[in-house]
Amino acid sequence: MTSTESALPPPSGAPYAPSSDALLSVRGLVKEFPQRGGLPGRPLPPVQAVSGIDFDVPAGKTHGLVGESGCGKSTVARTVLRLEKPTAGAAMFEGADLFGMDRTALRDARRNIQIVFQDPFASLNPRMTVQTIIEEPLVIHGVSSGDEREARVADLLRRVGLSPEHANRYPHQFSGGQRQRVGIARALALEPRLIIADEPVSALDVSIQAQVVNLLRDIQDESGVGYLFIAHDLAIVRNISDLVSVMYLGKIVETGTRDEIFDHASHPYTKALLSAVPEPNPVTERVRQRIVLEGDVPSPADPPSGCRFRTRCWKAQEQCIHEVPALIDRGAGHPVACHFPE
Amino acid sequence: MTDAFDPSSRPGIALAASSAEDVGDPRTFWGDAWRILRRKWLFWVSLTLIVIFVTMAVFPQLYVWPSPSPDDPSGLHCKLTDTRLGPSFSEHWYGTDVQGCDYYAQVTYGARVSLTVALFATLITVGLGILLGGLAGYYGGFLDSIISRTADGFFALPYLVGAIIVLSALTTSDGRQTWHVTVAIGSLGWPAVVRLYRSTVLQVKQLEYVQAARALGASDFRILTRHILPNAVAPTLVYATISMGAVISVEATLSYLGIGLPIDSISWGIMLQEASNKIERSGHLLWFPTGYLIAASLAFVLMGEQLREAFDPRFR
Repeated sequence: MTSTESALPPPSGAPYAPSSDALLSVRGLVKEFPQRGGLPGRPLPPVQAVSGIDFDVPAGKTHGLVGESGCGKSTVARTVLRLEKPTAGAAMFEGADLFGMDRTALRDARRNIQIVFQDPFASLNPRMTVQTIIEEPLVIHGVSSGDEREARVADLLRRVGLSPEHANRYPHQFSGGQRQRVGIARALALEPRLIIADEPVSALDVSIQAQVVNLLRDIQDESGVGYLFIAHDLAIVRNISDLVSVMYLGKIVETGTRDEIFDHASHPYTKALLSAVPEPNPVTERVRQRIVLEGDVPSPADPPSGCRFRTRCWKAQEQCIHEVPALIDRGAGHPVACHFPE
Repeated sequence: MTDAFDPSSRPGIALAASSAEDVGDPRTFWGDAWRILRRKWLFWVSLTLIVIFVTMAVFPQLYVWPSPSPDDPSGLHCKLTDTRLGPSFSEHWYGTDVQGCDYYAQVTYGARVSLTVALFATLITVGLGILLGGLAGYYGGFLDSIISRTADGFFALPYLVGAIIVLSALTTSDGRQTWHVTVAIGSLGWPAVVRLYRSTVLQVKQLEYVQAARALGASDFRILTRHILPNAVAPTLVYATISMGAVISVEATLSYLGIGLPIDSISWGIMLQEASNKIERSGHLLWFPTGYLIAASLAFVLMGEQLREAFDPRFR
């Protein structure tokens, strides 16, 4: 996996330049949401959804972004897509600065970056037929016309495992898994270079999840599309990702190749997450030691000083209160943001 | 969402999900609404009334016979000797008015003006409301503040006072025209539609399919017309139907007060005004236009209520 390692942060941990060979390269991304209310002169602090994160998605590879709900994963997706305005940071897509683009440039960039949403019930317009939904990207970007478009939609439907006869149906006539296939077909219509999958399977039944993940993998093998794959389910991330970053409260706490994270986790939070995944083998499952984290995730409007994980960490010490741990290689072979890694 | 159980979501047979048979007939939002509506007797009552009044407005000759002829262009059979006859089954069903004209024919002809004013005033109201409410809800911020505060300002203005101001501003030396009344009523009703449509736009614009369209690079115009409007318009259509009924009465009120339609036009409001000082001796001059007015107004209000129940998922 030499090609993927080059996309990882350098061991120094110092702010580094966007890597030019990555498909998507995000540096220092910050997104804060101002809060309304508070006393005059003493406004409420902003909610720090994303507090300075770096990651790369190499072309044709999958970068999995894992974390509990509310840790800022989806905000990362929405900000990279410019559905939200970033507070600070940079994002380079194929060498072009996404955050500095004007409307026209952004429109062109959006041909190459598509999104698959979490909720297959909410992400399809209920008043549109599947045909209209899937051909919309083609219409918006003026690609093909008339009969050609219809043939292309039929082709896309077949590609995601649906029948072209489904084109005239409405979304509510489909099951969750089928709808997600429609959503994937829409994302594929423009043959993008990057697909941001925001929890694409977490709303689906477990049996359907595997099918959809396999579909995404097949599509990647055929077309060489890169995925930013956001999920809270580690088993699925392990299945599809080449690179994995673990997020906690708006920050990346550990990042590395899939094997580095799953076999050599060194951040206490990653360890706790991994310990919660059931083992398929009953023998090893019986001896599995679960690390149960105490307390709740602190409010992103008032994150803990120093290490953000220290309030729930069993290894926390004085240093963790005062010093923010940098995301650097501390002997584990991949970057980890912890003063006392294992 | 009222989805029937879909066998394709069951693990064992999930792979069969891709075949075409298990999807069923195309069902649409409007189709579902129709299924609910056709079981309601009030829907059929109000629909019948609306059909009667609309045909009355468009083809009054279907209801009045003999039709207007060269020697009686109005079709009203006016004979001054027949002034203020009471209703009878033999000749004049609803009696005659001061000029001895047939009152049944007059009340029938009155539907056209009343419904035309109501229709166009409602179109103006809904058009302005959807345009401004859509912009306010979609763009938010400063534009929203301006539009919403202006709407609030209009709410503070009593309706009749507002209508009088607009009418006196519009009226020229040529006298008052029907369209003056239409514009006056239409230009005052939009703030309610703005509030209603804006609030549904605020809900709909957060939905993922709108975000998806934005991520695809769709223009704001496309998002507003293709994605937001079809999904946000139902409550406004309901309001528009109810407002049709309300406008019919407002027009009658203005005409009754003498600030509405020109005095020579035939409308229920004008008839009420002319009848107002003769009710002791000729009550029929008041009862018949009032009855039509109430029936027409009620028909639209009831229809609006039925539509609301059919569109609102909480009633399903």
